[in-house]
Amino acid sequence: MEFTVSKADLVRELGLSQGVVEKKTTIPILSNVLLEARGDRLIVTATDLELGICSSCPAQVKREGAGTIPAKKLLDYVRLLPDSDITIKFLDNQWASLTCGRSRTRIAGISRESYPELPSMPEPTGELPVGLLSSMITKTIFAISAEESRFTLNGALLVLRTDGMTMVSTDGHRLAYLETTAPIDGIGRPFRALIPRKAMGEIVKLAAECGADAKVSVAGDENHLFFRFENRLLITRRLTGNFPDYDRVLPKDTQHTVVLRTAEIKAAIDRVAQFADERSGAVRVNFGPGDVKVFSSASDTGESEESVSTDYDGPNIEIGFNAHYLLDFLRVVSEETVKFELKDQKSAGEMRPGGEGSTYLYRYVVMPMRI
Amino acid sequence: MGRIRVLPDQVANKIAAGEVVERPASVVKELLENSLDAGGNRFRIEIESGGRRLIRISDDGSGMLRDDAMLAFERHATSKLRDVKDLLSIATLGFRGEALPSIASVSRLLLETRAPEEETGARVEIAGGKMLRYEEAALPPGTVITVRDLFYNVPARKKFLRSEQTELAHIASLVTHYSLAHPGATFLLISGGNELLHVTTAQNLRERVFQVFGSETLDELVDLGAAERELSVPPTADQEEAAVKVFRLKGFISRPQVQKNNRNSIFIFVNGRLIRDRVILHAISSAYYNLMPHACFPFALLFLECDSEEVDVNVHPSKTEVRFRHQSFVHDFVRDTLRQKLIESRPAPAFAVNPTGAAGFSDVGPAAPGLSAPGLSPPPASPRRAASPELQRAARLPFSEFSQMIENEAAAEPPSREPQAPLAEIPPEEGHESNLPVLTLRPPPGPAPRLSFGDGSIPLAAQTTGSAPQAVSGGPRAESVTLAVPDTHIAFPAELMAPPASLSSLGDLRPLGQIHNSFIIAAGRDGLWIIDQHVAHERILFEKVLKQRAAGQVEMQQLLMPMVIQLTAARQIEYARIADELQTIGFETEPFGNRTIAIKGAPAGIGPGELEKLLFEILEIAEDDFRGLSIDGVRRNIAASIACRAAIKINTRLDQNKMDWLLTALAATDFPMACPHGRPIALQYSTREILKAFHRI
Repeated sequence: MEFTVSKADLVRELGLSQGVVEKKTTIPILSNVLLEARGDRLIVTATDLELGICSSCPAQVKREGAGTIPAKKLLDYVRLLPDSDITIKFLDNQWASLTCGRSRTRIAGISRESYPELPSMPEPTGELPVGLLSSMITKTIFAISAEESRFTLNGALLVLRTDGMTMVSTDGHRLAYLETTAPIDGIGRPFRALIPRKAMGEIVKLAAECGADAKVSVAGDENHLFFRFENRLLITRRLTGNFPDYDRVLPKDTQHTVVLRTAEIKAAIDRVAQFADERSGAVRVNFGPGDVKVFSSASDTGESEESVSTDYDGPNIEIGFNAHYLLDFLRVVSEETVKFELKDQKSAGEMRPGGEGSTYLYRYVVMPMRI
Repeated sequence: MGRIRVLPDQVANKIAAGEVVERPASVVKELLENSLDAGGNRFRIEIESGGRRLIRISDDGSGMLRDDAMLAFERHATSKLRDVKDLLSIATLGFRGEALPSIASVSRLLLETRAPEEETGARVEIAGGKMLRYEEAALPPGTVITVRDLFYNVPARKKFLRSEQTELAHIASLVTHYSLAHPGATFLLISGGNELLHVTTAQNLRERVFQVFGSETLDELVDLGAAERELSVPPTADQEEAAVKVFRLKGFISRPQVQKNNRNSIFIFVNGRLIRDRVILHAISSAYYNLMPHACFPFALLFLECDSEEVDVNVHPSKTEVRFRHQSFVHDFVRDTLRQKLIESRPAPAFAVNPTGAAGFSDVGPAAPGLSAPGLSPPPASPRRAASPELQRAARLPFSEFSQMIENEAAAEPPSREPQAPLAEIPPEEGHESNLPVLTLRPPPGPAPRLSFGDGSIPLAAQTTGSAPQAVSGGPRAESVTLAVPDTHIAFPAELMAPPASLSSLGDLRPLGQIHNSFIIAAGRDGLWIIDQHVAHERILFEKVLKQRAAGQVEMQQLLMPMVIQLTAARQIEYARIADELQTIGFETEPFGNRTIAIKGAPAGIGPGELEKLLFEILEIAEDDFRGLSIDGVRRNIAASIACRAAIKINTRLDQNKMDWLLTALAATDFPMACPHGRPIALQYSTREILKAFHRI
């Protein structure tokens, strides 16, 4: 195999595969990338058997073929090369020889025979705007449980309907819910799947490489999910199991709405949380007429209080929250204001971005803490 | 003639002997106590055939007057009591006046005694309770009692004697105990011509402990110093004035890492008398509570001194039990003193660098060759190493994933424990970690079997690629260096040879990194430390949970969706019993139909995934243990479970800040040496040991 590819292209494609390449080398070949020269393209594949990324870039192929090279070593080296074309040639002993300008290098590779074969993508279920999918992920990914014991919560639920889509994630203490309100074209049939968190992160990275109005095709077979972004394909194992009945959890009878400026309340909580317990992040939020007070106290470090003004004029409600949970939401909200929808001290608090006319409905439910 | 008859003395004595003289060791005990009461300073105990053939005890005490020597063998004849009032305040070890006649009735006994104030002494010979001979004799001051052919006339009792070795072990441990109680005296124990124990006059208790157990044991002990507590007794009916009674406690207790499987290493002396007392045993257990795993016991050597009116020794014929007049006061005094000392000393376990250090407790001090352990095992038997901390099987510890892992690993490896090599000499283990790096670029061996995508199971064969174990040509072993090593290095700064480790220095440690993402390695002024991150965090959280519980400031996180769990009938009952305690410690639960409960909230920090396991764990403890526990014990157990579940797990990467925080927080805890289940938290490899291992000192 022999081909020539531009340095910039190669660095970009290798960079995208880095998140997937197995870091702990229990299986040596998984720390390699598979390079395939076919037609006029170079195809770069990386996988850790849970997740796989397959991307391609233009190349001048002299002789078709394939081989694998340690991914990290290759990227670290190629990055240092000058901006010009790189010629890669696989030798008979599986070594790859790289030539670029006056640099010549040989890297030990492993035969592609032992590289896992990735499943092929079935007929797509639908096409989604890349930007929308990516922003839905960023707004829900933080609420995914980090506990491995409840694996149905280790991902987010994606529901496609013919007129829109919904994404939900929860860890048992809070729940992020996002539903498109504007119709989306291109969804062929309803679809429902649990996407693992790691895959979600990779989708966001791949989406960032796409154009503003690019589309992503979604497909799934029994065990896998497929996301195709133009010339790149992400394959992930599908999580199995029943996602909790989120509909029951979404509050239906909140009575009080407090509107706050996002930046102000975020900064206030951020500061006050410095004096909350390291682990539980317990802060108390007092919603009163005219202002909202946030305070915390840790018996051995100190205490802190802040207030933020609001035009709320309902009764006083004081609720304990995990500050980390509130901040997670406030960090991803792009709107200028946020709304707290409350019932009482013991019921779930709901947060929503303020403002009118957005194309989605974003609800974030946080259970209170008794402090 | 009536049917009821008064028994002749001889029969009565034999009956009494059944209570008092159970085995040769009881004879030694009674006679040795007499000798101690006689105020002697040198005691010599000779034994033959485990005491069956011969027991001879000699002292240099006050002896007996010639006339008394005869009287001593009458029942209830004693010089230690006069009237019933004396019985309330017994200051001597013996008092019943039963021992000598009882022993004399079941053996051939020879008494030779002379009081210093008389010119001549007396020799009395008795067999089976019959006086054979009484004569005046020329003797040194003091008393020698020779007991031969014990139980020769009670075949039933003789049959029940254990082997000679066992009986000898009992005697040896008994003499050892009394030698500890009387550091100022000389004790010599001889069996069949072999010296088993020879301790000469010691300045203080510490020196005596060294003589008996050796320095390694002493290193494992914490000196209690002298603790005192006053009890003011309000005036009572028969005592007009209020009095102040002083209780004193001294002795040694072991660091929590020393764990014994039974209570045999707990020695309690009350006013110089060795006793078994449930009150004090319980006090010791409570002092070590949450520092030691369940069913493990410390080594303890306690001397409690109090007014003789405060303790009733006339409870049991063998005088091994006592009753305290103010039982709960004594209990709290002992518990608090021990706990206080454990907090203050914060002892840290060190690495076992030499094999004997590991089993310090089981090894025999230089002063007592052949006498193995303070326990009861006979001399030739191998030291009971099982009790030493590192040989503790992981299975004995409460559950943790890691203990399980260790156990699995241990099962896979050949047991290389026994002839434990010093640290410096352990050859590199075989396996891929210690393989020499492959230096040449060469294509790895041929294609491995193709892996299928999405198949989580990783074929083992794939892991072995290119890592065939290589023979490690025996590295430079410490022993093989015979050449004189020129001292080309500068001397090690003396101030770095820090004093013995104490966990107080934990706060100054600088974390260097983690091993296996599970253990924090930290450098301190006094050497290298290894800290188990899970266990350390568990200790921090445990104290936090208890503190919050005490202050009523429990943080409870409500759940989005109530978690419904099924209970067995037994657990349902336990649940009902502890529901209130669960509520106050941060669980919001409510019954949800038949044998089902719904959890609506849990202590902050517990992930929802852990919750179900945690609750079952608590209810399980409830079934096993709680019945006997006070509400405080229940609380501590629950807190320990919460802490364990909420703590960072092993196999978790920690960044520098987290490690710093963990060590600082750990140093701030009351007991940074063991987790609530009793596992040790930190190990230290002292600078001295490091220097030794590198042959620098």
